[in-house]
Amino acid sequence: MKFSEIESEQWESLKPYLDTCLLPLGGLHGSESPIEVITALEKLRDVLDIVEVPYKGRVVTYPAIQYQWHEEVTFVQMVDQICHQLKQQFTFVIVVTADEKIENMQFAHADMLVSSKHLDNPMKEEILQSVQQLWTKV
Amino acid sequence: MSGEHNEQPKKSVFRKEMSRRQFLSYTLGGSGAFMVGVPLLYNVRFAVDPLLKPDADGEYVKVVEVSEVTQEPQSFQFERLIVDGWYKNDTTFEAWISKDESGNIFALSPVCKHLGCTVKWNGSQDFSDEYFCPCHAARYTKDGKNLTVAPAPLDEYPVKIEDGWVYLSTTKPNSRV
Repeated sequence: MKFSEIESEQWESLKPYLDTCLLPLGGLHGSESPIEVITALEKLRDVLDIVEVPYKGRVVTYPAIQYQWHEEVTFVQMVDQICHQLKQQFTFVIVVTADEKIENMQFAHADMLVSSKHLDNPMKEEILQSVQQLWTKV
Repeated sequence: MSGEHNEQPKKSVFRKEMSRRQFLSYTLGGSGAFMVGVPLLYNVRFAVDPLLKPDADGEYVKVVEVSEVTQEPQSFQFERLIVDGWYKNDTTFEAWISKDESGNIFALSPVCKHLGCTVKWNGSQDFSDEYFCPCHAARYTKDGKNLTVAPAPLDEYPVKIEDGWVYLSTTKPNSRV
């Protein structure tokens, strides 16, 4: 579920069940036209739906990092740092992106990366299985 | 005695005349109320228009041919137009449709009643012939009865059979268990 759907008084009781954080990465640079921004965000939403819809009761979608304004190395370090911080709250962190450049980056503190490659079967089914396997590591 | 006649004192005729101030107040007030009220009435009607439209949620949607339905639950997807105020959107829904022992077709929602994940028939190798939720291992029977974790049975879609097709309406609480 989205972070904003959780009521403050519910969080303590839900916390044991919601152990996986989804961190969306938009990959925008600011040079995109409004139409390109819409397309990018719609694609990101579609990729997010792969995991968010079937696993709604175990994942929490956090606010997205929409822009990538640093050099690649700095960006990876920044995302990794955020993943590391998120692990103070969650057992697992899954990075979600529809950006082709980000798809090929390695985030050491993320447990998994879901991308536009997983939009269709059989890759979609594979990534869903991978998420379930991840949970068996608890 | 009879000549005595108690004359009532003559009442003075009081003509209730409207003052110029009152006349202007009534006419200007009335005109103002009319000028504000009529547009307000139409705007309120416009604002609540979606509430006055007939509810499309209860309509049946054609999903699958009867001949395709088996004793084993199968997942079928279908689209329904969801109207939320002014926002209209075709949303995809999923149903697990099967026949019971008497051959009656029934359909269950895949939404787990624990925290809303999506259940699957035979979703776990450890529990055959059951619905299984991958999130927190909630389990349900073929009729949707909750066995573990979940606090309630799976919701049910009302089913209508017409011209060899299965039609489904919007979910309701499970009536089978």
